[in-house]
Amino acid sequence: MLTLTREVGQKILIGEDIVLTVVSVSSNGRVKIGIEAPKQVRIDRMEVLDRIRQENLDSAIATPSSDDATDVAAWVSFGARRASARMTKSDEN
Amino acid sequence: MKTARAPLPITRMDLTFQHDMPGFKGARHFAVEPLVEGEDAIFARLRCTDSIQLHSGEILNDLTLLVMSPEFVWPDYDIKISDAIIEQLELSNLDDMALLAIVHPQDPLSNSTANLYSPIVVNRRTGFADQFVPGTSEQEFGWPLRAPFPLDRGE
Repeated sequence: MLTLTREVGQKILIGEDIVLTVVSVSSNGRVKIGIEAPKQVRIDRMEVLDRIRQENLDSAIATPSSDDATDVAAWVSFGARRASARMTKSDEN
Repeated sequence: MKTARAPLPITRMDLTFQHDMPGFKGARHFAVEPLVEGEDAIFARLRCTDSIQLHSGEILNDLTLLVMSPEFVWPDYDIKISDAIIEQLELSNLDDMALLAIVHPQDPLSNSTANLYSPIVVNRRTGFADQFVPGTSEQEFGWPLRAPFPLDRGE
């Protein structure tokens, strides 16, 4: 990993058009970073994206890919019961 | 932009993601196949038609997820999606938008959860779609990554 030392207000250019700016550094170690990038560049917090990746993967592993008729019937009835359970509950409120 | 709306049955359609689905490199094209069609179409299979690569390097040829229309079960489901995703999916008309939550099946089914934190946002008119990645933590966002389904009567 490339490591650069920067001061507040200094910038880093990545490629042609991505600019990082160190906006501020607080005494408790929090660093505020400004990012300028083209709209199509997706910018995400790594820990958030990692949790979503893992959940997508776990969900895919738990999902059977075959078109099992029993499975379909079970889900359809499950969905209908949960939807109506929820409706009844909100009617009571 | 707020998304609260009446439950929307899922219809058969093809989706083109603008970015890879997180966790699956190359996953851009999907077929939405409702388990049943019509007014009760709450669940659908989301079948990826691309050959994809996992982060471990493993190649996967049959990625299938179970997705659902969340408003059927969570009528107050309401998220604030970013302007960036609205622009990329060309969602100038909110009526064109549909949300799909990825279901995490469990045995028994009653232990299953749905991902309300990071739904798939769909432009129903064009088939453009993307999984929304919030800029906030789950707690701040208000809807969990693993939302339990409401209890059935008698459970």
